[in-house]
Amino acid sequence: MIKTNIIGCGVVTPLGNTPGDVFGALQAGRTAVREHPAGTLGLKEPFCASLFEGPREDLFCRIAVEAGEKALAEAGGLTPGTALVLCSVKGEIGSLREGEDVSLAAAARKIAERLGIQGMPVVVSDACISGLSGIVQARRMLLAGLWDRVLVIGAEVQSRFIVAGFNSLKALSEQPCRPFDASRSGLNPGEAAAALVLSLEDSPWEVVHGAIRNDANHISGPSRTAEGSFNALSAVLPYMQGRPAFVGVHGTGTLYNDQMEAIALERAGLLDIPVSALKGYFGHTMGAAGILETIIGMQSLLQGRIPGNRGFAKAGTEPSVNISAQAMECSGNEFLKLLSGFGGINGALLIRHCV
Amino acid sequence: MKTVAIEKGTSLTELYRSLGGDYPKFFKMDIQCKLGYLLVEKLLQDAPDRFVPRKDVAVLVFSRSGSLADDKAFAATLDTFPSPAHFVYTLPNTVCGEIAIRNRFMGETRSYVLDSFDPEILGELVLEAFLDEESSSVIAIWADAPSEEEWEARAWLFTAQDLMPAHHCCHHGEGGCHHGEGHHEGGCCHGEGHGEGSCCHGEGHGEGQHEGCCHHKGE
Repeated sequence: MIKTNIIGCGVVTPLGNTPGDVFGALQAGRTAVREHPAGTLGLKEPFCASLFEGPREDLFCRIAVEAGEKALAEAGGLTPGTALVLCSVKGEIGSLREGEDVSLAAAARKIAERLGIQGMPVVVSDACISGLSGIVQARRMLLAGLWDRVLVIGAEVQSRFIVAGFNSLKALSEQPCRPFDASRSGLNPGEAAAALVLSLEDSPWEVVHGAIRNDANHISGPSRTAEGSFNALSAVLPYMQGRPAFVGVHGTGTLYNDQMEAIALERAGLLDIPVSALKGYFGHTMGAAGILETIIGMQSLLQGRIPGNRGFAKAGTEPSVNISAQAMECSGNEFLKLLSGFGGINGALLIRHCV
Repeated sequence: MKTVAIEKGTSLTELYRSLGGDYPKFFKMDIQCKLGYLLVEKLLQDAPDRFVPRKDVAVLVFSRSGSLADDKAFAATLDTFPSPAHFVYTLPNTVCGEIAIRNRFMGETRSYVLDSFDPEILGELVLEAFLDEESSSVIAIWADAPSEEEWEARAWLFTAQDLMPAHHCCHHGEGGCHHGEGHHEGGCCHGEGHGEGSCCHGEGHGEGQHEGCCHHKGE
């Protein structure tokens, strides 16, 4: 049996720059989501988001490179047979009006050059599941035997472009988001970079399986019957050894996403499993979310404890799921990660800690 | 393996009409989605059971520019009323969603951005798509539209049989596909549990046999 393993992790977030520090911040109930006044990022109205402080020049590439360097350092450094997979939705789109080449291809080339990675990087841009999609991609590149290691970096920075876009769809919450709560009213944009090094080398952390399925239903709304999310889960569930310790949901805090996920969990027979939703701490970090939330999931599994679902008070999905505003104990050596996004795309991932 | 292209200078509206013209949503789409939609119409126009929902076709869309043409259109609305109709097309994978909806494809869809059209890398990614155990064919699309006027559009339909010995996997006129260093004899990629004579084993194929991509299990 071939195992694809995680041998390095890196995070760069407004809540900390190591997985342990970030998990500690979550345990202490700290959040990076706050209201930003009108004028922030050139927006006319105030909005709630999790943003980096400080200069914004070259921010996307800087955080992506820093997360990548951290993951490579944990993996023992860069080796010649390392491929780069970059996951992002909009990359450097904030510089569009400055006449620069804002393509994801150009950003990936810069990041690869700064990290010293040879060969053409592969950019995975699958809307909000990009990070998870990148992990699935990295795993397959190892199974195909063409690479020794794959560095997969997910990054997103916010801009007037993205915030105004979500606002035009009425998807933004005016307050900090409340995933799975009865009064949830939308998402908060977030910024972060996170990276993993995957390899066939030994490690206690295994990416056991991952799947991506389309709803074939609507380009900007999820299936009411959770078709794609359920199908992605169904592809992954046979690889579980037992019951998962928890399910790391997408949990954006929009009405339709969280309701859809509750139906997917019901159809998959997982309603009793503790649910971990993290967007109350980081906002929706888009291209980074799949990787950042997987890394926090690994910390949760190690500690046997998932952080409280910040913003949650009263069950607001039908059926309700096993979720709490307080931290919850969890036991087991596996967890599931779910994400869904525009374009009708859904992903499920199974991570195992082998002791 | 089947391949289709849309030649430069083609009127997309005329092409849409010549292919049946029964999907008015076409006119709402951005340029990348129009190209993706039309390529799949051309590719599958004679296919049996055309609109029966299925999970066994993976759709991979590649470009250099992503949604750049629509990004510019949306950015132009920022100072007045940001347009949700444009914003939903500012994601490089919206084209996958449109193709999935039109064709009832409920399997895997992926959107990739590459620095240039590179048949070797495309072939590698197509091959890896077959590692999903439910994907028995792959539609690969190169639909690059830096603007409404200048674009490149080509698509390929691969089945697992295309990847068996003595076939190339990603015909592009220039021959090759994925990495050539000893990987390629004996066909390529099978998903998990798909059987013999393949390369690119996923899991479930037995123990200790992984020394690279292309095992010639059973050969």
